[in-house]
Amino acid sequence: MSLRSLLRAWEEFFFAKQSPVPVALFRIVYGTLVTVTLGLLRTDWLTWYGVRAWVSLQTALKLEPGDRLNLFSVIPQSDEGSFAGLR
Amino acid sequence: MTAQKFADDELDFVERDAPIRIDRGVIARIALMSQRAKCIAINVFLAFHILAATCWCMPIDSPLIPLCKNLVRPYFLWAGLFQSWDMFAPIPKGTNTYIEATLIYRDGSRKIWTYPRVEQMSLTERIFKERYRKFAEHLQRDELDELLPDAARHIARLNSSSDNPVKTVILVQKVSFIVPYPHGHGAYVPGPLQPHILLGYGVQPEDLK
Repeated sequence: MSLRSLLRAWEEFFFAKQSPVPVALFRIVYGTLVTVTLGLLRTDWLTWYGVRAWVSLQTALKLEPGDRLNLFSVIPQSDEGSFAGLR
Repeated sequence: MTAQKFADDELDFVERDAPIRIDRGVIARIALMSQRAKCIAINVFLAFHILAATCWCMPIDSPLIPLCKNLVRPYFLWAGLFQSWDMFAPIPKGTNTYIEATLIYRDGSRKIWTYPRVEQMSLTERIFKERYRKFAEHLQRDELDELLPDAARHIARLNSSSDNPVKTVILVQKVSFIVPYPHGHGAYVPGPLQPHILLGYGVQPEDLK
């Protein structure tokens, strides 16, 4: 495979005009799965994300240092704050 | 309309329109450059993520892989793109395990508490409790030993009462190696369960609050 045909295949795969329906469906299904996962976690939410959870926020930050997109670092450290994050 | 009038009108039109046409030309060039920059940025973004995700997941023992992983690690951790497929390759998991805790109460009594075992739950329960399986796997990883005191404190809170609190938690991992069945032509059987102490934890009064 030549570089030119590789570039053409890349262009075709990523940028050719296609119906947006499959991606739209994928995003709907993915969003539904995320919502369902959060819903299934609801009964155990405080067990995992509450102030007295299995793992404290301090331990979690110690084990996984560094910056990250983390909702729990900005919401209040309380059970109510944790539930607000779920909502 | 006379020819002179037509020429004057045309000149007016050209004079009036010229600045606009120049502006339009500049705008078109800027739009083209912006389009090109956008195209380059999208391609760089795609190429970087394909390469980085491939290096991150590749179960190949090559010195380049850890190098690449270390380079992309801060970004992958920040964005939550990290994903491990070690369970499947290169060496699939070879043990059945679960966690128990021996609890010693203030009055000297003892109790064995078993961490929720997803493999013993009904299908409906499994759907809700899947996270317990995941967490149990993490608890048993040597590099995550710092999780154990938090887990011991949580178990103590779950099992304490105000008149008889838990004083000591001993976390025990029960391990059964999956071994080849003799003359089994590739079949495997679970070996006997062996206990392995993960942590002994003395519960402090503030742990129970």
